[in-house]
Amino acid sequence: MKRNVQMICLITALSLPWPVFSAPAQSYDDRVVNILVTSQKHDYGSPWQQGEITRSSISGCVIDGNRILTSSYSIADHVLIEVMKKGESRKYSATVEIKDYHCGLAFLRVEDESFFDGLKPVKLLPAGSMTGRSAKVYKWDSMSSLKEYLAELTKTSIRFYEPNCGVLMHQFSTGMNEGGTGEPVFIDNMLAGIATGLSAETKTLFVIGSDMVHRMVRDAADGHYDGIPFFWIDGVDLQSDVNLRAYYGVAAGEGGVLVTHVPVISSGSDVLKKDDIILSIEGHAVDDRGNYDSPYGKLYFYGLIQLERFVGDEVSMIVLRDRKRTAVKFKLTSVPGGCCTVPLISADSVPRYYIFGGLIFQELTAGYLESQGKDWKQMADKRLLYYYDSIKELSDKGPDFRIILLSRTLPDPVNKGYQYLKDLVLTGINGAPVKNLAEMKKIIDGSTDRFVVFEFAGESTVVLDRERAVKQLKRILMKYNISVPHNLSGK
Amino acid sequence: MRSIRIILVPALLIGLFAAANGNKPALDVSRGTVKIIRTAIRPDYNLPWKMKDPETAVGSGAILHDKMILTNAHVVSDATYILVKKEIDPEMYEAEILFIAHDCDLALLRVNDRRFYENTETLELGGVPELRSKVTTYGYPVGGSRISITEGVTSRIEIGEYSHMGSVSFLMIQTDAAINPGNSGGPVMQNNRIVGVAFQASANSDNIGYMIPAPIIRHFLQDIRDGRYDGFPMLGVFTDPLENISYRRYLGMKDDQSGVLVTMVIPGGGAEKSLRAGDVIMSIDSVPVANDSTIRFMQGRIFYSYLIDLKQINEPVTLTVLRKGRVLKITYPLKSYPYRISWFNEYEKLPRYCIVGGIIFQPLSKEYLKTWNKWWHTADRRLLYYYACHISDNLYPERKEFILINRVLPDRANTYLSEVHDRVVDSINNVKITTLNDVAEAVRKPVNGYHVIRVDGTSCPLILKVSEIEEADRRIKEKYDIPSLMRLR
Repeated sequence: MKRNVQMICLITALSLPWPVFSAPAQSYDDRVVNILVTSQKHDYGSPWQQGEITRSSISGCVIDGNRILTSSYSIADHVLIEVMKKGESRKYSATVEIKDYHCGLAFLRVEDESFFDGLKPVKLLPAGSMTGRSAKVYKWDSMSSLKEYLAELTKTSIRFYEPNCGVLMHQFSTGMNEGGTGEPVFIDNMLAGIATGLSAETKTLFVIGSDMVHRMVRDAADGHYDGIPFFWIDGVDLQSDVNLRAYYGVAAGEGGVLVTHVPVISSGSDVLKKDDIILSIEGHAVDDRGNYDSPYGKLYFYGLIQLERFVGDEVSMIVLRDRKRTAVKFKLTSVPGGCCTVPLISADSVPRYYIFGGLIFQELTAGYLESQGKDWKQMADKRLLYYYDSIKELSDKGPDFRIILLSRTLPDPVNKGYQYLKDLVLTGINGAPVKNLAEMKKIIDGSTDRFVVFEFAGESTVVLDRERAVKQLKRILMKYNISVPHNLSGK
Repeated sequence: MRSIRIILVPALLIGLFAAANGNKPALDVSRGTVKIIRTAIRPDYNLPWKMKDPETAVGSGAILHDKMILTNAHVVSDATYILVKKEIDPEMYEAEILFIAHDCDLALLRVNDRRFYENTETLELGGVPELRSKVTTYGYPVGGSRISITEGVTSRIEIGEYSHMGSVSFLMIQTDAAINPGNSGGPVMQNNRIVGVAFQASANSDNIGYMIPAPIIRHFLQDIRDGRYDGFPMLGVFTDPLENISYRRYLGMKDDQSGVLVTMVIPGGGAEKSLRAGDVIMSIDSVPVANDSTIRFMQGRIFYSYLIDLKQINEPVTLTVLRKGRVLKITYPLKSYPYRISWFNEYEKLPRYCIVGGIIFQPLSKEYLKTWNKWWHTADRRLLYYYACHISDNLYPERKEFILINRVLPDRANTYLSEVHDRVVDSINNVKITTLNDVAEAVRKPVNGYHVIRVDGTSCPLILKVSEIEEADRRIKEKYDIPSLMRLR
């Protein structure tokens, strides 16, 4: 099949400790630091409370300006971050300066600047193909010994974090059995990237390239970090498909990516159109597999936007539209908060919920689905999965439109007969559509009708006596030990 | 939501092949019980022109009046060859299917050789056994070749899913008499009469066997009197129970009124012109329906669908309906289920398909989804959503069926399409596709020398060059050994 623009979220593969062959590397313990993370995810089943507390030991390195660089996914849902250096026992508490899940990196600050005494910043490796080069990976083990692993670069490509954020990703083949959590990777004594995932099966370490670090530093230089520009289209590489090319009038030898859908919220949605064929971006030709020539060799065209450009920059493209070459220009916007209709990043998110008459309403998010277990893509409700899969089309309903679920019911006399309802998609209240939980609460609070009628996809309905439900709320909250009946802000 | 809605969860029940028997010396039930050996062949929905390997299985049956042998549909479905054997006769006799009812898992066979019926007993139908009363199962289960007779009690009577066709539920009786593969189709006896046909068992618990009770068997025998099996009718609506008092107040129901709420009138079903969403069905043929969707039955209660199951297609039903505060009497003839995507296991049918330039077009059906292992969890997610929700979410009401691209048989003419699979077709050459026939029609009118196939979702169109197709089809037919590129019916 044609390579669709896909969103691939890298998942850290954790595995058992494994004896390490390599020994101390004195020359690096002044750059590589140990980070202790205490984190707590929310409990989507009972969204008013927190879930399990976990603690992990990860790595990072010092960069210019007394910052510590690490993987954002390794400090997800953090409650407390402590840093240690040089195998010393003293723990310094650190704060997050920037944590960007769209590019996988984070900057930490340490209040007590004496932490940086005796440490020095790493140098970033300049861009350029490094395939086949050997690298060294450093990781603090048992907090007092720095382990060195050898790794060999096998591939450099654009991989995607949600939502469609292309990052430069190196893949190293390595003997590591544990890691992928912020370890710095060095080539020629310079930082090639930060590890963000490890596949124990294929012995592959996923490393976010130093270009991304560079980008982040520049982005933050003005004191305001905007993040990766948001470019969220569906496209298909033309390849050499002669029929498709003839149909769209693409000349032989000309490359391009056929745009199949442009959600309204994406940058460029005002100028790009379905059935446009992107031929070049900023003067760089896009070939028939969607690649351009970069210092790393061929890279997927998202690199031209998300690796090298910033929010607010203008991007120019040549597209083939109705068989005519057309120049288009648009400004890059930032990723909207909580993107998008089904929020895709579950890290650090606090589930919104609203309890009425013991019915728990929540918004459909990737975090909600993920909380159903490892196999959620197989086990979750088919309608919810369909909405999740159709997120780009749904996003055209507006930036604040969310899918509201009746996630489950807290049994009580007021909701007798509804106890078994779960995962129903709300389509309306008292005959009117509802955009999100905040609006839902407003409608119910403002209603003077005796009954509240909840309408769900699949033609089912639930009716509650409004006053009775309001009256029972206190008792339900007490019985089920719930402190707050709603969280509409997600904070 | 809960209710008469057909259950889309994969069955936890396994089909069995089975037997039975009854009582005291007066009647030798084993002379009325037979072993059935059947060879069957099934098509491969993945490569729809192909058949899978033949399989042979053993089941049981009971001799009824008029030389008919009663057994389960699943004992003889897709049969290429059926043999019947009696306990005391060394001979095996060829049998043919007279009628087969996949929904209620029953079939009638006949042996043409008259000698077969010598020294046999004819068994008669009885009633519904009382709870805790003893029943005896006769049949030829695994573990030996001679007849097996086991005793147990009637442990539960309720509406449950019949797993042979799947997604349909009728009255069934549970017994703790051992029911094992091979028992299927065998009689379950009480007082020398058939009170059930053993047919399935619970796959994950011991000592739970199920039989098809006499009322369902009678329905089948009555249905075929006109020489044709039509099946069970449907009420034609989805309903929800009304166990919440606020909902009943909202609907204006008084304390002495009860019933179930019509949530959806199924398009094309029998109730289409008679019922509306929001109606409350208070009684069916004067039998009151409770708020939990049940009716009185023997010493307990069962789901109201039983009243519909007793009727034949086109038979009228009379409902007492509360509509906007008014009580109405509504009568309409019942119809069968008008499905657009088959929710059922299918038998004795060959898959329909149409191959154009190597692209295999097929209708979406449960049989197609079953080509995935653990299909309910692993099949394509869009297909599963369409399958599960096309009626309740009113998806593409103009589509009479959903046509999908199974896969593309790689060939020169479709080089860049060869990895396309499991996409639902929206249009071909700008013609909306609502049936498989539409595909065959649409490819007659190419657009500027190309076939342009658009699919649901946001992917790009699939494009074939018409001038290459004729030769490609010939090549594909030969290379992939496909007897025919089309089976439209």
